[in-house]
Amino acid sequence: MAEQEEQPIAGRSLTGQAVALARLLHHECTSLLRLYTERETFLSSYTPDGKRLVSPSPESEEPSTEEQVQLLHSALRQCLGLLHRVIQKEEEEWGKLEDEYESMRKSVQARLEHLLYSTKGLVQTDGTNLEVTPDNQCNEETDGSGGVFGFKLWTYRVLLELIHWSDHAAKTLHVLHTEREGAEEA
Amino acid sequence: MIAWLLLLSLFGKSTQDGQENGVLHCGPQNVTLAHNDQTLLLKWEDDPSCSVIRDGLVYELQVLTADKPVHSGEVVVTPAQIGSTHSWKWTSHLPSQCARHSVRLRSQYNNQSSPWLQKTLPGMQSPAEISVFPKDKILEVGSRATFCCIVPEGKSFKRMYVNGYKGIEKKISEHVHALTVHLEKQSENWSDVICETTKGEISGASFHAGYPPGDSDLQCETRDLESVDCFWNVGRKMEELDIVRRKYQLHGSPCISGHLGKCFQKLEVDAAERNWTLTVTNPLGKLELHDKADLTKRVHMVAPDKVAASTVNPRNISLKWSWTVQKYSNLNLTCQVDVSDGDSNTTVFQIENFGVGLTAAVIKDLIPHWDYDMRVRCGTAQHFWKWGDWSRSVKIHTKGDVPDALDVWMKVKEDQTVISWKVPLTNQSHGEIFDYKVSWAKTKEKNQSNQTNVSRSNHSLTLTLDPSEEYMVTVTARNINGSSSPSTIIIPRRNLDKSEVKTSWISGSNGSFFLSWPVSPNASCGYIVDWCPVFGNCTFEWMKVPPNRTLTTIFSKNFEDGRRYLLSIYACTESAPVLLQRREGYVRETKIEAELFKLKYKQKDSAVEVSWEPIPLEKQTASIHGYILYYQDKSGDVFNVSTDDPDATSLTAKNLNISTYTFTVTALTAVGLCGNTSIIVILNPLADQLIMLTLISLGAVFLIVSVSIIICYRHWACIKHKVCPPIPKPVLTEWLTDEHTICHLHFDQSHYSEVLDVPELHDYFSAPQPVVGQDYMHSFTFSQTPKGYYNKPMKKLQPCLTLPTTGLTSRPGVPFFPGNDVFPNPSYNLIVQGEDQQSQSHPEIQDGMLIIDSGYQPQSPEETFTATEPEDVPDSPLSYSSTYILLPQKMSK
Repeated sequence: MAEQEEQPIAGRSLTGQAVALARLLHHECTSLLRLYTERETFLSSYTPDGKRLVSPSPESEEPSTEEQVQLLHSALRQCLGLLHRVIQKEEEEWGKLEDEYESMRKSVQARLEHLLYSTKGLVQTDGTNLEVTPDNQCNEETDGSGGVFGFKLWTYRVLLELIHWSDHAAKTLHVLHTEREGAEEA
Repeated sequence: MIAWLLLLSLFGKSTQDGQENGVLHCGPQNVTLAHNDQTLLLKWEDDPSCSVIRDGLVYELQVLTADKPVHSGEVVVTPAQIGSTHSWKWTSHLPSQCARHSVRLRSQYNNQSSPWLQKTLPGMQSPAEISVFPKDKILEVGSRATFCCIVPEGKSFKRMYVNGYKGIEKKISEHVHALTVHLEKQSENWSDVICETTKGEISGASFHAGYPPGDSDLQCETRDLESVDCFWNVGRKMEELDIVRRKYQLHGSPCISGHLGKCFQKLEVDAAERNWTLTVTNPLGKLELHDKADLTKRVHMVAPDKVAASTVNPRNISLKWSWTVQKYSNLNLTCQVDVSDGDSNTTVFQIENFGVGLTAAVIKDLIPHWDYDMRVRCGTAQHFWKWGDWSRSVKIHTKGDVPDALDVWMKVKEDQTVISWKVPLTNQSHGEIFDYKVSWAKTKEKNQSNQTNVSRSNHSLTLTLDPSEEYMVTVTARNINGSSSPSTIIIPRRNLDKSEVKTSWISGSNGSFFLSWPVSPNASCGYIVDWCPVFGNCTFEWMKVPPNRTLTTIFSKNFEDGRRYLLSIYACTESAPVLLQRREGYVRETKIEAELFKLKYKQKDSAVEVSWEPIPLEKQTASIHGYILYYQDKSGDVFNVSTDDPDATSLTAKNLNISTYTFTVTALTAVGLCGNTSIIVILNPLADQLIMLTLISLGAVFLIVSVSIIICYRHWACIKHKVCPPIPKPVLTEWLTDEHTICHLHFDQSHYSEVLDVPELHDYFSAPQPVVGQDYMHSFTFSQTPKGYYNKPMKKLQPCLTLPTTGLTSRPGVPFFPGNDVFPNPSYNLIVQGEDQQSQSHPEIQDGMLIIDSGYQPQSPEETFTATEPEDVPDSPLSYSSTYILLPQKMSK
């Protein structure tokens, strides 16, 4: 009950909307992974090594909440870059399947882009200029060296990364929301 | 000579070197081994010394996988090929990464062999991660594929598998394992071979199992004489994966819609036969389809454009159209016009027209005032290839016209003649009918005709005509366009002799009547068959049959099952129609309802005649062929009598018993027994038998009585003796002299007048000391008169008749009194009881007293009679109760 009270209501504030959006993205990323593992059943016995595909380095050792959101924005851009690569490669290999997985993948892409605009609006200042375009850092070595099978494993890791960073976004934005809403009330 | 020297040096050198005899110096040189995927490619050259060999040589090859020989082969080198570079290919079942592949090579000539020369591909050396090969392979369905898993040092192989396929594992070496899979079905997408270590780490490789191109039946044509259109059958469903999707090319140019089985290319069409080649490729194969055609003879025309009616008349129209392809104007064309009904959209007819660059057609034989849909398609008249596309349909409504001539018939009934005509159908009225005009006149007085108009809602007219005259009746219909042609029918004079044409039976089938009749020479204009129900309103229907036919099937939507119809066949003549035959029957017989009969019965002796009223034909929903009378008595036995006479109105059941019978009459029809009606009849005993029985009974009784009387009369003495033995006078002289034993018995005759049989009193009886219960001694008193009976000694007392005892039983231990049997009293049914017998239901009686009991038990104290006590009245007569006679106790000896 207490947790529900803490949940920001969409429309109340920008931070509240961003938190709700991040939570929705996290939910959809989880669904996307479920649909993917239903298609690629061998993944049920696959455990990735735990290395992060996306790992932005903070500029300071104890970043402020705003800096953390900026860091999050950077990570989300990389995630969007990875997702774009997944979509491109999958369409090359499989063509347009128009199934539930593809529909959810499209939804996650749009939601992620929307979240990037939200985080940019929350932490952009006169001194900073945040981009919302995908940060595509992957290349053939990271996603295509293992052939189609390697690509499937890599896609799986990308989807795990999306889940991780969407969850992280929900938490970080919630902290920002709490700070700003608390300050405004005071 | 030089060659011989070289040859000698070839063999001589080896001998001089001390090498083994038979070793050939002519061998391979510059040997290279490469691989493409799983195919090994070996190349080599001949040693220069081989040039002296004139008749060619042979190279022997061996392939070793993981140092084990797996294949051997030969390459024959002809003399002309000696000196050139040779190559040899072989495809291994194992990917080159999975194991070391080696090829050994040597030459052979005249049983001499060169030393083996070996080249090796090392395979993958202990990778850092688990690796599965081959990767992303496109394989053909039905083949076998071998995958290998290379496990790095320090990790242990656990298993390999493929979801959806069965595979067989094989260990190649310590770190290399293979899985051979039979690809019996097509992959939906990319399938995966998974390799798993004992620690749960996985790796894998994807593959796709599919088919090589299977397209067929290429056919090329032109639509506009400026391009080529080719079509073919694509065979199996098109692949979804881009990488394996078929690629199409027509004469080297890609086909955009190739996956749909068609290809279009612009080109100059000339009048010459050409080869048209379609190339289909995918990773599993290549296919070429060919068609040879002169496209000017394969013109598939496009649809005519702007089709419209140029002229519209009641029964014909003109259509025109244009062409979008200008080159058609020079072609000799044939065009087909499809005329279909505007309401039902069913094709009515098609016509064809010919002409160069045809753009118009006339369509005839149309129905006036009618809706049509028309469309056109064309083809080349010369070298017809196929019909072109249909144009769009155009709707056309023809102009109206006068109605068609009516179909008229008549029915004569007594002095009334009904003239009837069929309602003109929409395709006959050609516009809304206003009314009908009927005119009639005697045929010999045609000028004196009568006429009347009949409204459009009526389609018959009843005329009262002179039966002795022949009439001519004419009917016309009118609409906005005018009057129809007159339809004339001649009403004949009435034929009084109706027996000329007999009516025969006809059975319907499938809801219709099939009729056939002999040819009539009079039927110049055919035949008319009319019909109407035998009962009810005769709304007759008819049909006309052409002269060349003498059979027809009659069907009407008005036919009803279970209804009897009368059908008449007439010959159509120049004058009045002539009745040829009459038929009567049902379209389909139905079961007659139960309780059809009104039953009566009449008993005749041991027979019962059950009768009923004749069944009216209107109740006969099926033709009755006879009747069955079922009768059942109380025992349940069922009997029947039947008749095949459909006109029968009674049936008789014979030899019946005097009992209750259920009679059921049922009609026998083609659809079974029906109309069941039952009555219950109780048969009366026959009167004469009763009288006879009574008389016989009376006679028998009389005879028995007479015989009995005679017998009784003849043996009366005996009977009297037996029944009523003579009672001796009582000898009371001594007994009476004894003061102690004198006892005066006295019956009071005033109370009871009948003489009672008194048992004999023996002298050894002790002095009577009767003790009578007081309760029984006050109603009646019997006294022995002085002139009465006296007891007389008897040796034995026996009753004339032995009657059942009345419940008195002898008491054990008590001496049996001879007179203890029970005797009936003739008047009172008194019972004499032995002294040792005692009524248990009576008041206490002293032992030793003989009790005479009466069968009759008084219902009231007043009806009992009392014996007076001797002690009280010594001289009084002996008193008796009506129920008991108490006698002195028998003395014991």
